[in-house]
Amino acid sequence: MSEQMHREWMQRAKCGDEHAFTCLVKAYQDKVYSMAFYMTKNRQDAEDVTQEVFLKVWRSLDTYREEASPGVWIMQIAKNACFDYLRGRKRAETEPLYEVYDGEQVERPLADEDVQSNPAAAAVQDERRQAVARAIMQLPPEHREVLVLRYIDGLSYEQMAKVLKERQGTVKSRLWRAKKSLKNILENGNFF
Amino acid sequence: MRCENIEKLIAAYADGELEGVQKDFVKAHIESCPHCAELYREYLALNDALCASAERAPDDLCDKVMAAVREEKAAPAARSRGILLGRAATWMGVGVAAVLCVSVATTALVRHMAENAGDDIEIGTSAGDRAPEAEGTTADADVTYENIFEENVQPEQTTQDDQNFYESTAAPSDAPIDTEQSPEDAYPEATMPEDGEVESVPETAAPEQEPDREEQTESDVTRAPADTDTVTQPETDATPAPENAPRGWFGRMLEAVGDFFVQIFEAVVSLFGGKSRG
Repeated sequence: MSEQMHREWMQRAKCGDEHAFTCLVKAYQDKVYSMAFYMTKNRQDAEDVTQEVFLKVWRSLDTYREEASPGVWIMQIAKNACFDYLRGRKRAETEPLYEVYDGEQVERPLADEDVQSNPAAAAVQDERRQAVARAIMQLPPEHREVLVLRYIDGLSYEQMAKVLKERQGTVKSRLWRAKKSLKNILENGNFF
Repeated sequence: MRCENIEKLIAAYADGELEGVQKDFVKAHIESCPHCAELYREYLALNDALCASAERAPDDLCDKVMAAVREEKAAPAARSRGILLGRAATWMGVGVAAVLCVSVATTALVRHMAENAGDDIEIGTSAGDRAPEAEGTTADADVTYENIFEENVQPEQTTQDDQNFYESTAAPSDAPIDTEQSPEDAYPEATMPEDGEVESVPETAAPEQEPDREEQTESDVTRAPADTDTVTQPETDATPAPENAPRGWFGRMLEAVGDFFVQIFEAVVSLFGGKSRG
């Protein structure tokens, strides 16, 4: 249902409908922002990259084909924008986490509904989220990319293969290695 | 299958990406292997933690994006002009490159033609000088001036003319008459030999050659074109080795074109290098 709705918004946005494009932005901004955040390791840069991604989406609406999935198409643009950013900034892949932002970047306020329903559980979950986020930041960009696409953006292996322009077998292997590395980091840090 | 080999499949099974036989196999293995069952639970927990790691975009992000979009819509003309200027500059560059390539190629071709023409003239003048020396040294040993004269000559006419010449005692119109000398002295060749034989003229050979006259006549006709070829052959033989001239011309053209493209490439690199640093 949501996929079909998104396709309709894309078609209307192609015709210049700003309201339809606003709906698309709201539907995909969290996913794009998550990708940008984990790739740039910086919230301000992530915000800039996310804005740039949606501007590119707006400019490229004429090239969108009806048969393509809006989510896959937008994440392709997001992935390219993130790597353009990384190439431009020439950040070292082995940058230690705490030298970058001292762990503060992964903190964010808990959602009000989470706090009201079960504050303790919300706190534990938030602590776990921060631990996982820090562990993800220690991985190389190609591992961060596949983890975000799969578990945060919710793409299937097939969709990931289209975004990354790789074979499904390659995606599966890369994802497995990323999870194994992440598991080792979390076990060594006694987060699990 | 060993557990370490099935770990990758367990991760995909935890993701819900296995189907058919693979899915059934892994499911059965997990149910029978405690180690792999524990691994499967760990992967499920990791998946949940990863899913919970999604970040929320700032609340005002959508407003900022739409403001930028409206700016884009309000100023499309400036962007279009920039695009058009960029395209115009690109096509101008392509045109200039094409004109330069054509001019370089034309210059090299003209030089080559000029050099070849000069070589032809040199060969033409030296062929006559070289021909006597070239006898026996040219590729075609039969091509000599002596052979050319013999082939060009009509034996029958020569024989008759020679006969007339030797029978005639009349002085040539352009030759001075020395009254002190006897006709025989003045024209020793004109002396009628007693035997009727002429030493210098292969008159006796003429009858022998008569059977071949027709052949020679025909061959002369056929040879006529060949004569021109044989005349020109020394020219071609005397040219410098054909392999060197074309290669020199072609090599020079290639070098000129290569230098041109190197300069264009360096200019483009410096241009875009300056832009990226901006």
